[in-house]
Amino acid sequence: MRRALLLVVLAGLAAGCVSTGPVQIGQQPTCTSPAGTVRRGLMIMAQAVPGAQWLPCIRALPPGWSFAEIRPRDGRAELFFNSDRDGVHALVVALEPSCDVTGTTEVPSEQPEMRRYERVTRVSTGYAGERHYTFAGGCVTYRFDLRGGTRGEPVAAAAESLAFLSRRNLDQMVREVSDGRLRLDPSGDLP
Amino acid sequence: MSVPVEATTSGDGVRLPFPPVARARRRRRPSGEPPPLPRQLNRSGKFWLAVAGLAILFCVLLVPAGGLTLRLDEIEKPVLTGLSGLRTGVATGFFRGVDAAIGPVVLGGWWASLLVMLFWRRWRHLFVWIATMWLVSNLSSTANEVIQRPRPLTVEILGAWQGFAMPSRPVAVLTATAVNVLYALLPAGRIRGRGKLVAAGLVALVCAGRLYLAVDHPTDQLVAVALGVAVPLAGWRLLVPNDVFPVTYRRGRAAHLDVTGHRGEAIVRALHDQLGVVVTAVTPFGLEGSGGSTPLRLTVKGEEPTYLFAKLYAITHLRSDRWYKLGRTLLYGRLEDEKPFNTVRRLVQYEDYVLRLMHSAGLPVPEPYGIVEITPEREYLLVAEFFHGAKEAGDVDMDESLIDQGLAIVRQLWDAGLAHRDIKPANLLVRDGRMLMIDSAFAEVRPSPWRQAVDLGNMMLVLALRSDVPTVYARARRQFSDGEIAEAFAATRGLTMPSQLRRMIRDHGRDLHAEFTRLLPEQHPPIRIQRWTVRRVGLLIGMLLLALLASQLVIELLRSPL
Repeated sequence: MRRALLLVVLAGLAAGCVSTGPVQIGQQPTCTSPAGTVRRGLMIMAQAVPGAQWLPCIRALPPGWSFAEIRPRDGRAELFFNSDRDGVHALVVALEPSCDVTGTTEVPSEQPEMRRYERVTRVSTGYAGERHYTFAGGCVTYRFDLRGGTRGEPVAAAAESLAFLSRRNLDQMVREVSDGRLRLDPSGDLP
Repeated sequence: MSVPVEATTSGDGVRLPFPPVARARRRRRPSGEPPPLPRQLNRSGKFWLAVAGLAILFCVLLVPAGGLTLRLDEIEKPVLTGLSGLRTGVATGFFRGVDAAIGPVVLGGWWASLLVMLFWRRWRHLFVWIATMWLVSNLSSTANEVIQRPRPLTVEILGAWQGFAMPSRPVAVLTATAVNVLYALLPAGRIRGRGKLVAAGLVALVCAGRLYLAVDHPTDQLVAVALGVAVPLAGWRLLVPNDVFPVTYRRGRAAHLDVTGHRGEAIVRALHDQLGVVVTAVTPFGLEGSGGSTPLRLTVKGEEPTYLFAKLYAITHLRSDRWYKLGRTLLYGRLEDEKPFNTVRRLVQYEDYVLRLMHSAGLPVPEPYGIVEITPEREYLLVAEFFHGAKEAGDVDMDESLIDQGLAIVRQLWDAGLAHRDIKPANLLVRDGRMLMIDSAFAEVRPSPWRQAVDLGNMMLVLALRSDVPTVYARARRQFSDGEIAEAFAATRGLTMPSQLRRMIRDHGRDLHAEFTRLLPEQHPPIRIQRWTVRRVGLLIGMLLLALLASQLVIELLRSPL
């Protein structure tokens, strides 16, 4: 019986039943990669939205913030972030081919080649709102759901920690690491 | 060579001769020689476990650095670009359809298996199904997140996808579903063999389609197939072995081992070597009355065909014993010795010991012949005298002599400091006007007074089934005081009676317990059987939590194992 119980616990641990939640178990999609490697999270985001010319990446997370997970699928990729003060999945960054900016306010964008839109949905307790960056072939949405006491500071800190990597740069990294044998995107005629 | 005529005893202590058993020279197994039935995982099982081990090692190597997956991409690129060169509109549509069908096929297989397993009450099969699917699904998604392999580069991806590529989760779940359907629904043999070919063809088609669509790399699929086959296969082979829990579409009792083939030969050889008994036939016997072991009748070579009785115990019976005792602890609390056995060897040793104790106390039980080892620590045979020609007590009219013998058995048990704990019609036999008792599996040394009283109550109820209550009561007063009889009926209620006895009393259409109670000159207050302990409360909470977890898992799987 004891052996069976141990097996169940080990199997559970092996199967990641305690680690598929907010705890990060894979690599972070940082904007820079160690020499001779390419961040796999960035590559799969590029594959999720093949037309997107820009990809969101992590520059440096502020204290109290952690990267939780990446959920990619064809047509969409999401990055989830946790905050020790503002809760689990306090920030979700989504990359999509396009996004609906109806009802948002356009503000000057600090990112070149991108337009920025803002929408605030809650300020009574914490902060909830969306920020969209639209660019050629794609759109990145920052979805804030902050449940802490302060609001302006964490929004700015979280937004500051993120940046964009161009598809061209990522493709260049793939080519360099594979000595030109691989490319990020397919070439040739489509069937 | 034949041994001299041996003897057994009846309830009144009279020795009864039984036919001689031919004995051959015993043989000691020398060091290094395999046991009669060596333990072995089938060759295919070992192969798939090795493949799964290699697959896991391969995955571990891919984790640390991103460069390695790109190297792998370079190696696999020619396969994918080659297939992309074959793309046509028709083929693309066809393989997209195949890929989209994975979800419905997996769900259909799961639902069909679920219905069959529920209808045929194959609970162990169901447990293995759920556990292995959960394990494959979670292992593959965890590996996905840890390895983070992108989808194929350089080639246009034509299919729908979700998550990272290594291992291919849809292929792993589909393969595991196919293996589970094969082992849960199809009987072993030619049908399952053909099913394996069909399943292999289906998985191969899906894999080819996903490579064509450039959704997976070849190695993503290899790792997925290794996981999808090895995990369920290990579950089925280890927890629901086919020779113990065969898939059949006949209603019948589980937990009986197949005693033909290799096991049958091993039993004959082991009996010859270890007990010097020359057996010519091994036949299952009285399976319907036994769930805790596989009872056998052994035809022994002799001057005339003689028989021995044997009970084959295996690791599955040990597990059944544990679950049975856990169930009793949950239902009643700690009434008596409900500690489970640690090994099959100890389980058999205990039963043999109690049988010898009863035999030496003069009780009319089968003479023990000893223990035979079939597979060390996994399978043992308990051999005893066979009561040839005896009838169950429930099939024989009870005269005063038989009633006295039955009551004397309880008196002898009390005097010897023993309790049988399973007195029911199937365990009391009658031959030539003599009452005999079998099955000492649940017997206990130095039982509680409550347990002894239950033995008396059950014996009186069995005796009254084929006689009448006043006679049994009158004969009982010759051997027991009114207080002891009143205590017996205060202790013997509901669940303390074996289910066979409860059923027969119900079929009888009379409330025998009430009839006995009415005859008693003094009433004994009912003896409470529920005992609440910290352990019982803890076990109940633990089981409830497990049930909750299992139900959540089933609901999740019912929606889709993918």
